[in-house]
Amino acid sequence: MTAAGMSAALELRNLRVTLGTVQLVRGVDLDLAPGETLGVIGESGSGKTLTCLSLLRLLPRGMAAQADVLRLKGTDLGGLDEAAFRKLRGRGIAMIFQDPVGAFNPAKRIGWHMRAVLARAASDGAWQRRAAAALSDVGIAEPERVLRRYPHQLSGGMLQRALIAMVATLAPDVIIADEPTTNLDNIIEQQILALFRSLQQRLSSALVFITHDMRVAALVSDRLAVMYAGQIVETGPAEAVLHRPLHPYTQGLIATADALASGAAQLAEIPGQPPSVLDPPAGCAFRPRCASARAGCEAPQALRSPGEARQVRCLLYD
Amino acid sequence: MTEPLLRLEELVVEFADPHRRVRAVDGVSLEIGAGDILGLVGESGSGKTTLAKTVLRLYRPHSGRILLQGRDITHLGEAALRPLRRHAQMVFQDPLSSFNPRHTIGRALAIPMRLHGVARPVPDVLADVGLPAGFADRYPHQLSGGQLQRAAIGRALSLSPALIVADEAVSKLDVSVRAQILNLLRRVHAERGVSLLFITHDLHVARFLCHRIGVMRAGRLLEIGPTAQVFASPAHEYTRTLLGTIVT
Repeated sequence: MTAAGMSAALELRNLRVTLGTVQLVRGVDLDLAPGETLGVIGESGSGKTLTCLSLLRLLPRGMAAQADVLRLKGTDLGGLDEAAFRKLRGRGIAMIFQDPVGAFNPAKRIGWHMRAVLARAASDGAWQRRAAAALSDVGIAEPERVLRRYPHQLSGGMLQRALIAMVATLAPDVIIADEPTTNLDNIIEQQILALFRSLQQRLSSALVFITHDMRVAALVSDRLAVMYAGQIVETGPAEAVLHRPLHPYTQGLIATADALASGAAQLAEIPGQPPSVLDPPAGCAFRPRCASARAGCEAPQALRSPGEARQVRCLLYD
Repeated sequence: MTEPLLRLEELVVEFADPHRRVRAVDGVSLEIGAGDILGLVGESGSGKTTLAKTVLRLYRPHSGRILLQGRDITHLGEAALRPLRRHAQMVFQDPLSSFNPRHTIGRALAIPMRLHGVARPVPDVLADVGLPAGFADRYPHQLSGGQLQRAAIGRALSLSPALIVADEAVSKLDVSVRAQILNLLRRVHAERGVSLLFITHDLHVARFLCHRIGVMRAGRLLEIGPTAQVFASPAHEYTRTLLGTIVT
């Protein structure tokens, strides 16, 4: 991985998330340069959302996160107490959730939410003008009217835009977007992805974009990280991972997507199910589903570096 | 002239609340022949799920007609519908909420068969959809999403229906499992010749599975035609926009 030390927007080493004796995230490293977008790909149970929630200290009750290193713009987040960390949320690191409806207080107007955020960004008093401008920047027509609307009066796509406007206003060092287009229709999804790309031009924030859709990730990301069973199994430049996937799991995901897109008669399948977090297989977690599994796979696998800027957790690359 | 398996004539479904009436399905006419796979695509709110549920008479239409195997079921009461239900089954989007959490999978599969007088061993039904016999003793929460969706497809198939309505049946599944279920649906169709009304917002999935595709928007069926034709030369501007969103 690239970008370390003071210049990194985010530096995470060996993150572990546990629920009692169950290991949900098993040693994740992330590095983000300012302005860089990392696409994190994984299915349910892969630990991608928990990884991001632990960055914000928003893990559900009962779960605990530990990391050897967690630095935001060089600041060690591990040493911050809750009061100091709260100041960091929003301006230092902010999150865009999958369900925009749940991100708003249903009893308050959009303007109320925008005002709360603008107060954090040191308001000059004329919050309405600035709020309307922020909504306008994310492509919302008639922003003054929208400010007076309640969340339930807006569509999912509009709400997601408003949420993105709030985060953009804060211009945080790191933005985490967790499946921000998964609940949206194709057409709206395209619009929101385009909005993310324009945001990348406008802000210098680093972006972590979580998705289960390889192709969506490739559209917005500089680099990709593929997660499986609580670990990163492959990272690399987005184009390289998409066109030359190394890990058998990544290869399977891409083969399925390619077969669907090309209108094949039979889809390439990954057999079996994602492993249960309660009882993950020893060694490589993908082994029971892997056509290339061989002697040695039952031992824990380290990340290998088979090419420039690429890493893969698979013994095929020894 | 042979009657198609399913025929909808100018179907209108309205919902009313104290403030207004919403026309969720607005004059839809279409046919599904025996062995056909018709895909319905459209955004959320376009009326495709309402249409699907109305086909199964889970909703009562405001006007229009529904003919299943030539029989008008538009205004049938529940008692008259019940014996017909085995001919048209449904697979829902969320497999977990379509099973009773307190019933084992075996019981969930056995009850509809008993009600409709079908004598088929539960292990055979499980085997049809690639599940081991031991799953009969498990509860829904002990199965993964993909395994549960297999069980739901098995439950629908066990009654040997002429039509299965599948509403976003693969959209909640993990990517690595989705292909398994799509291949399963295709195999089931090839082996049983069952017709499918397949509702999806995913155009790739629709193209993979469906012989014909209907595009819905705001309760209306904008266009309907053979899959290749809709993809190659969409007739409606909205369809072109929708196809333009395919990420390749």
